Amino acid sequence: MAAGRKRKRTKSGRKSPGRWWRWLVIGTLLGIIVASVGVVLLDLLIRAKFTGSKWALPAHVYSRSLDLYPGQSLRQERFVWELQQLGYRSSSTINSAGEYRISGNQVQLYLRAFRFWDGDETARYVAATFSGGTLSRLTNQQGQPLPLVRLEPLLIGGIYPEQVEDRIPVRMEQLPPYLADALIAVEDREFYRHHGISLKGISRAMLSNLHSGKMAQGGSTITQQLVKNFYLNNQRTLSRKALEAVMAILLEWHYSKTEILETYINEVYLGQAGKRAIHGFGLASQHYFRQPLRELDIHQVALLVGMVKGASYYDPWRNGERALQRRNLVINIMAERQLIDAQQAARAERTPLGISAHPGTDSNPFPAYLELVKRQLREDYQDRDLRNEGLRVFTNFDPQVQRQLEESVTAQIGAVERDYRLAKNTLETAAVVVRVGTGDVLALAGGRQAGFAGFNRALDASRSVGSTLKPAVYLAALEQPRRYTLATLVSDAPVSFPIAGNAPWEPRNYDRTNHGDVPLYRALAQSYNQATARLGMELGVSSVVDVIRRLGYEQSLPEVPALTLGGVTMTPLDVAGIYHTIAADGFYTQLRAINSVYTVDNQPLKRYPYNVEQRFSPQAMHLLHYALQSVVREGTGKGVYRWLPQSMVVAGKTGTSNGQRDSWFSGYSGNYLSVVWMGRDDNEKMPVTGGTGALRVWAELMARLDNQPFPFTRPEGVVYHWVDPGSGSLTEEGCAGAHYLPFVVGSEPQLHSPCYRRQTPDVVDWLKGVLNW
Amino acid sequence: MNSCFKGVLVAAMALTVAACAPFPTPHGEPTRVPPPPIDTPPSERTERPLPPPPVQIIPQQKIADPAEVAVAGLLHDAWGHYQRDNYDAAIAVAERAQRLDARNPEVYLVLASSYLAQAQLNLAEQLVRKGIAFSGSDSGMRSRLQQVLGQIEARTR
Repeated sequence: MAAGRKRKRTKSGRKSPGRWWRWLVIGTLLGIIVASVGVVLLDLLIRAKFTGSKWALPAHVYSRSLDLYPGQSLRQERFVWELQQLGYRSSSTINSAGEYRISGNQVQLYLRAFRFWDGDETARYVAATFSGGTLSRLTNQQGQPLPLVRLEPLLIGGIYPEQVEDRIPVRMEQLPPYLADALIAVEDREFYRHHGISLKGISRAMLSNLHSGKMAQGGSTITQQLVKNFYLNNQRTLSRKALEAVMAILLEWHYSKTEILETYINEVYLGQAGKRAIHGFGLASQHYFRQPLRELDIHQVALLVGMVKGASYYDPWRNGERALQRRNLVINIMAERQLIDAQQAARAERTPLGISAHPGTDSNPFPAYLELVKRQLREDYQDRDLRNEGLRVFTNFDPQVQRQLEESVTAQIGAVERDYRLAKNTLETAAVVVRVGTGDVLALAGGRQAGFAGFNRALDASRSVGSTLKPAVYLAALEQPRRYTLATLVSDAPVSFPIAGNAPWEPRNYDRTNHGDVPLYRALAQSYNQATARLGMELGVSSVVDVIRRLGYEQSLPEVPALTLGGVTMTPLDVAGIYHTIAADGFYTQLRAINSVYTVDNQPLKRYPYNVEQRFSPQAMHLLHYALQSVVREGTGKGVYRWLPQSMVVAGKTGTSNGQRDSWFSGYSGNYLSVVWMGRDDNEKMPVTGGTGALRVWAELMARLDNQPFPFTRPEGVVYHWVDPGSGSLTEEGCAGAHYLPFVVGSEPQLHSPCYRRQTPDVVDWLKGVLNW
Repeated sequence: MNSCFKGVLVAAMALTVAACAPFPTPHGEPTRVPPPPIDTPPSERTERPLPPPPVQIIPQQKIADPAEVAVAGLLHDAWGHYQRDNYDAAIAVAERAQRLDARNPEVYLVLASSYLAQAQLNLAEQLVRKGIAFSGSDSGMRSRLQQVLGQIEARTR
């Protein structure tokens, strides 16, 4: 045993040259094995990330597309504004997609191609002629009439995590001419000749670094740059450079030059929009020029290619002159490499930078609407999908309506504060605009400050609705034509309703005046509290609750007498849902912000189809439409005709909560329903009512929109009679105070006023008799 | 002279009649409008002038929609999709037509027919009802909608 130990010690103590070789071989073999495992792992890593979806793509949200047809109410100025929002370029000649030219009352444009859910819109020339606020003619290049065309939708935002890379992936075939070649000419001339690394480039960089004494140049190929951006970090160490080189070779081994270049074009960092990093030429084109990438001209391509070297350093907004010099350098390189001729280069150099006034990738210019979109999307999609899958969400958002809404809010809320000597910014507001009949939410104001992503009052401010809800009481009555008609007299005398365990409920009129017996329609038009409370209690609170439910309000309601006068809180969006059922003749439709969702590859994923349910009879709705027109013709809402022409048929209702803490106006024309709330965030009293506050925003908005009058057509089962409103009895046209009222057939008054029997001859007949004609 | 006299007489009488015309008189002023702030002269206020006296509210005849031709083209396409059993496309195109003219009864005929083909009977029935509500005096359209309603009822029995 001891001899053995001795032998061992002797062996270990002796270091023969053969043993060194053996260790060297073993070490080398181990090194090769470790390196091989490392390369295999790197290879797996490279392929795992390069295959399939390479990036987490945020969902992008688009507006509605603007349909154009002859006869459409559309002002030329608004049409041009929309073209500009879409990044169409004013041009003296119309040769390619995205160009337009104004020639007097005609706008010529080259539409962009776009794939819609229901079909493709091809790129083509269109001439739109305007006259008197109407699109009067739409023709193609041959002057032939076109019945209908549409513009592509506007990108209005995205759904991003807190900090994110954003990009619009593009394919090689979507690139503008020169981009790929210019990029190679500037960044990696040997691209098509090397296998991931360029020894020539590395030697050049090493010499330069030795000369400067620091790691200033990397000598990276496009493939190496891609590896660095895609897999590694910005460290400038030799080990990282070695790793980068190995990975670049592996990448080239597995993938074609085209695949590598395409990925590079989508990966490269090209700017910053707030917290969002702008990656890839697709999004950079929107960011700097508000144009699709394929439409870029030589000078624009050159600017973006030049920015690859340093997007912040060459930021054209902050460092315009530096960016211009860099762009022109790229143009020169393009000319040297004969990608463009001298004439093209000279013209491109003379062209200004041509960047848009503001970044075209404002991530959230319409935060209130985007919030609604997100909430509706979350009913169907997980947050992870919305932030990663690159979904393309097409909404019903109408930028034209939103623009008018924002301008109306700005103009009127300030005017109300001035008129009532309120401190600036005392009042807040919220508004919802819906397309009548379809339930499409077109625009939203979450507060007085457009574009401010704060508290969204349209969705979240649950405020007392007051008289806004009174139409529900009258509708409950009008659904019982045997008991109630618009001519039915209701007492507006003081009322008192006992409340178990509490003081009786004794609502009073706003003016503290009793108005005696008033016909139903006038009680609503003048918003009499005493008459309405009495009517509501006659019907029963449960009947009123039932009507509010059928109008579309699904949350809990207090079944108390005060509900008849709107003693409940709702958001403006809730109220819009209720009023949409009224505006749509008793057909309930859930309000929709989203139209459809596409995958990142432009494949349809989900539609949000129109859904409808009839909840009220056409006859009862016709009578309610009449009463709501009375509100704006002779009642508390007549101020709307300070803004609207008399020919514009609209209907609506004011609403003022107790103590004038909330001012509402809700109403509709033939195509738009708008609900406006005005109040204070601290819920303090205001000097304004529904008729003097919210109404002004509503009326200004409706005056600005291209409205159609409400089509107040008589349905079957409704007849009209002249009625004496004082007695509710039938009378004749021409009798004092006679009103022409609709009745459900069989519910007409049976009594006649004295004037009814004293029928006067027709004035014209009488004249003819006198003059013997 | 005689005709001149007649003209003057007619004009005078017309003016008299117009002056006495029985415009409905509202029951006083709206009750909810408070007086303007005392310290603000009317000329400085940004509210616009009061509207003219109220007019009678009368029902109107249905008027042609300016989008009529565009909608007709879309509905033609939608029927084409329907004939090829491509109901989703028919619905999508009809909804585009609806955005241009939400009161066109044929829009609802296409939608109802497509949903009926997809066995969504409740929705199809509601769409028929909406179409009927907008069909007015168009008896042909009403009859087509009634036929679809009959088919729906036959399948729900």
